[in-house]
Amino acid sequence: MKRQKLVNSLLLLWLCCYSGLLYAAAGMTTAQELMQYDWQSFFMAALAGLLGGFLRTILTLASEKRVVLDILRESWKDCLVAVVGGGIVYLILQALSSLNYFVIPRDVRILLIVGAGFSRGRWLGIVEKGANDLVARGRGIVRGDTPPATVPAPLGKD
Amino acid sequence: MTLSPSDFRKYAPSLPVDQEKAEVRLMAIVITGTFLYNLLETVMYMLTVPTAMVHKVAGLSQIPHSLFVFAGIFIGCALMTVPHFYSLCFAPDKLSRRLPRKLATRATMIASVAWAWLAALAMPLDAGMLPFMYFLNCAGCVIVGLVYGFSLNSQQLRKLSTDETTEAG
Repeated sequence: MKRQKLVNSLLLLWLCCYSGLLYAAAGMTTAQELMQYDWQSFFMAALAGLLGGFLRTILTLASEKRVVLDILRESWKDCLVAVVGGGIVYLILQALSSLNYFVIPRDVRILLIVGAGFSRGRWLGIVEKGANDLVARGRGIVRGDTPPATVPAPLGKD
Repeated sequence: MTLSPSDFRKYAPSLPVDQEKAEVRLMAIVITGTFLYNLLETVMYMLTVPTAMVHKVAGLSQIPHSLFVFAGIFIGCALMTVPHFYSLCFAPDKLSRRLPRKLATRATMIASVAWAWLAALAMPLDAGMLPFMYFLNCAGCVIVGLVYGFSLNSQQLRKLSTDETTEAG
């Protein structure tokens, strides 16, 4: 048969498209599956984490033991740490509630997330350090500094 | 009676001083009063308007008598803000005391958490943007708290800097 290769490849293409069409008709598209996700509670968790960060900033501003020289920098750092902490606690709560072993009420969940954003505990030390570095670098770039040159690590002994 | 500026300078016993301080105090009164109004309005809706959404939402929590718990939280926040409001309105010479502002800051923090809690309770009601409106209230409380915190922090900064100058000089 002439042009056997072309016919075969076109047949393969049609098969691929056909199976894809069947899959799409039977199930849901990716967009639909994404829309089914509980986005509202996700955004709510992000907002609650941010709230915890702002509460931490307010507490730092109001306390007598600490003086904040650069309020914007402090609040940026607090918000970054709080969003990451709130996200981690949100994931943990999702995992726990997906066990279907016990029910965590919605309000308790959001209070836990606010508390996670508020707590600047030891468990977020790495994240806080990273956020500090990120804020410092961003401000340096805005100010027009050249980014610090990275020193290559020594490759063992010569 | 109208006067030209030169005549005013000639006849006026003294020019008005500390006008900018009065302006700042007025702005602070407006901010604190808005915060108080928000709290008291919510309490009134909760306790006296049974068809209000806040009434329904505050009753949805699993803790017993949650309606009165929420009302108590908001009333407590309002009471914690009252000393600062009083000194703003009637005793501006006592505004340098830290404790009333600290209490008001705590009140804004507690109220913002309570609003977030209400937003979480309102989510399963499927009532449009109601949870996000509660979060807007929460953001308002946070902004008022940031204003108080800014004031406390800058007072501390001023005090520290004057201490250093006196020590040096």
